[in-house]
Amino acid sequence: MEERARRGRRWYWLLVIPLIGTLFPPIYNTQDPELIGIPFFYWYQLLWVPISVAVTLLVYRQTDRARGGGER
Amino acid sequence: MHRDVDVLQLSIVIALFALVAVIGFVAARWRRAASMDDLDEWGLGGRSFGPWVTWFLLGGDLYTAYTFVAVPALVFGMGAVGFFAVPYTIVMYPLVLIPAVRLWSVAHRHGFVTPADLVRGRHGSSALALAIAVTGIVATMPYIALQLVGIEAVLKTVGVTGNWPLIIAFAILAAYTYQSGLRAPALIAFVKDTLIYLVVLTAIIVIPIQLGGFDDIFGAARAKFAETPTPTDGVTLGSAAQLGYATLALGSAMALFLYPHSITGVLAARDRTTIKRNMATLPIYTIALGLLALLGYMAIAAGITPIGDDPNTIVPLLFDDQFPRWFAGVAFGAIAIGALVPAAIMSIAAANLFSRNIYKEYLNRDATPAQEARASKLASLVVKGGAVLVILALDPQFSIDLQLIGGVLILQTLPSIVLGLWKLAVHRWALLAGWAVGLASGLWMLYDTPNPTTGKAHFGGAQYALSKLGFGDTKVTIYTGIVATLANIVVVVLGTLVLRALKAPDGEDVTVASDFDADASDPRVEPLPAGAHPEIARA
Repeated sequence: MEERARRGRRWYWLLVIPLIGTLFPPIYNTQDPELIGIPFFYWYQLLWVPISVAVTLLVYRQTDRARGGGER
Repeated sequence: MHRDVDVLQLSIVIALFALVAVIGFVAARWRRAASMDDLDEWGLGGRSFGPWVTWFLLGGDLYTAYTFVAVPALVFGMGAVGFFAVPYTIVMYPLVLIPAVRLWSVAHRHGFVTPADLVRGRHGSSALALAIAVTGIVATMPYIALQLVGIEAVLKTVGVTGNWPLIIAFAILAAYTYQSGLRAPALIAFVKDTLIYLVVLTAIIVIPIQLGGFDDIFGAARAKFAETPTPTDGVTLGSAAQLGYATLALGSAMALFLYPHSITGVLAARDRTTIKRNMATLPIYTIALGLLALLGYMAIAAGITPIGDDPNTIVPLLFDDQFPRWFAGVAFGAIAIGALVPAAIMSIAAANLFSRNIYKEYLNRDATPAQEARASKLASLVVKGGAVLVILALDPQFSIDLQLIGGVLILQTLPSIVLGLWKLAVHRWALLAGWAVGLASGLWMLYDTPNPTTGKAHFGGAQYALSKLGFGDTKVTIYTGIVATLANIVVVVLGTLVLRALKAPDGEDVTVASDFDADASDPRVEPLPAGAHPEIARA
């Protein structure tokens, strides 16, 4: 039980990914490449919404007790 | 500029408002509890909301009407800087997922209703709990007032002037919140969000087509910003603005979770799974917010000029300009209703802080649950009345400044609340000292921030110049709230070390480590038997 809980907890580290993707403006503070006329700055950040959702869903599924993941 | 009253649009807004008012009153019967004379029922909806209700409730709570008009207005005026709302509402969820479930668990076990309850129970300091409660109330008040700004922007566009519509709207809101508690905004949020999504989707498809595509829209924005003398505006960030952009997004995300109304929304959930699922699904609102932010550029391309220098009117004006009259009316209704949900939850959260942490702690220690709930209901009326007075008596710009200050203030509760969610041996007096230092330094930096664009010498924004912090000759700025919070945390750490060395007495901690992992199936901690010694009962 303890071992499984510890392995479950490791999944939480994935939550750092959206922070890195969105909190460093030098990565995305450019005009090009544009997407249907929208500068990179805007569509790149909006793209992080589905990525962040996917990461958080994965963490939720892997850490949810009801689904057999290791809680805590 | 005077606009004639548009009767069709005004009728639609009033009809939607009336529909929502009926729902608000009927909400008291929804999942009816044995008694509403209990703070758990009135103030937290019986802690019974499942994933769907919580999604609408938190969505309506966090993405306020003010956000929906102010973010596009900021993009309209400043460009890329205004888009910070997107990273802000992306990082919020991964950041708060773990604290939110731990907070839910410990509150479930001990019956905590407010963040100050946690601080009281975990750190055993009533002074610290009072500090947290007062900070929460002070930070929330201008936020409620700002919701009125959203309604005001709509009314101006429809051509209604005068204060009475605002007063009536808030009086009705106050009445059904008084009666139905948190169940009212939870039900209304369904209507609000359905309308908001309908309007956003329509806007993002129809308006760019009418304006000739995003190439033309961003072209118009670039042309506008090229003409202004301000160096900080533009379609991408200036090099000096990047640190400020990222720290504002990060700080705002942390602050939003600490606001009492967010915590109320979290504690109203049924179990831990509900919260985790919502942390994964709530970012869908961020897409809506991001698309709405782009409306700021569309307003530039459409040649919109704000009514009487109030940039918050640009979104309603754009709808009026681009949509058929009746659909613009629906959009206005969506914004107006959008103001009611967060205003109701905020007033409930502030009222709970008053009844739990001031009334029961200091004014009537032997209050029964019914008296406590009554104090909360009355406090919610006072809070809303105060918000209306603030808007009517003061320049709206003042509430915007206050809200800016509010974000910096609420961040100073971070160490007490978040460190309280882990069994870290921080000392209660160090937390209090950190809070005081964070507040003082934050307020000083805000005071010391001029705004060259508006010509204000003080309180000109929440971006503090790094050069003033001794980082040499640079134009780079940083979000004031982050600096104040860092100062706060340094004091907490150093203060704890000193107080430990001096063997200062610790507060009594009523929590145990397993409380923070408890789920709905785990029992609540038994209340102390009636007649137990009051000193023990309050520990």
